[in-house]
Amino acid sequence: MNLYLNYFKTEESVEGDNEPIGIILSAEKDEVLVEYAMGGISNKIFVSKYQLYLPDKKQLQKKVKAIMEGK
Amino acid sequence: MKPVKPKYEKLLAAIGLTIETARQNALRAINTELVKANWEIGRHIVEFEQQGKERAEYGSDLLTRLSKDLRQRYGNGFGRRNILDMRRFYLAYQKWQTVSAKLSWSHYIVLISVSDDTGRKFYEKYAINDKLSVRDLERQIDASLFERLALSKDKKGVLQLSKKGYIVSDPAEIVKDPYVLDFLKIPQSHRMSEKALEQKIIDNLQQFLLELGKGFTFVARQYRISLRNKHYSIDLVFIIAF
Repeated sequence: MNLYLNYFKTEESVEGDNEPIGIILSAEKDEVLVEYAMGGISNKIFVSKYQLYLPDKKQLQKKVKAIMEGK
Repeated sequence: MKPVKPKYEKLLAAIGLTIETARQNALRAINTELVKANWEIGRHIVEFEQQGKERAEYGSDLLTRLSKDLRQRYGNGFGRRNILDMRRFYLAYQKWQTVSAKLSWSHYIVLISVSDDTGRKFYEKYAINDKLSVRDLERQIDASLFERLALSKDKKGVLQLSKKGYIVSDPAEIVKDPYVLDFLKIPQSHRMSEKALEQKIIDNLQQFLLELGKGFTFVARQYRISLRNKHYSIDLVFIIAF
């Protein structure tokens, strides 16, 4: 991914473009592994999980409520 | 005759534009009247209910009874469910000025299913700004877009989100975690190769773009890069316009 981003930055981007970003979709995501793998890389690379089902709305709403109540 | 032709084409185009504009305006006016009428109906019901004495007389049968009488007089469109929606609509938007003429009654039915005010305001702004179809709006609510965006923010950020809708200013903000790809309709237990997943995404590109977020435009799949005779392929390339 880092190679792709560097390539795009030099070869494809035109003036006024923002830096390219890379998104890696993965079925599982290990935060620690991601941290080690991305350390020291200045390009914007994001690792996101993907899921094949709708999220549990109630659960998410609870979490948002907690933010709003300052917990 | 020849020189007349371009002029004639222009005439035809001008008339066509007039017709289409008039039709669109008429549709918009009908929609606004419909939404307004439903809002008024909701208001009448709520105000009636607030007069305690009368309410006791009809109790919870009020809506059923109204539905029956209204259907008899004014035809379908006044089922109990519809009247319930009008009542809920009024309760959610008690000030008529807060109702947007840019959204249809169908949009509002979907919006009032969001019980939380902050979330509903977010979806409403988003639907107006991005001219979301009812279907896309429904999908984003089902996929808890608001909650997923809100979780990476603090209280101030969530309120901002609610006030402005889906507005992106920083690349880090467009990246979601997780991405919800339920529309690919892959069974959960199914293990899928990367290639097959990519194919599924391409087959459902429109929905995938909606899930990626605002401003994404598809550029290419398997975008080839050649360096010193070695070839690399990027799975999917998009342009993002803020």
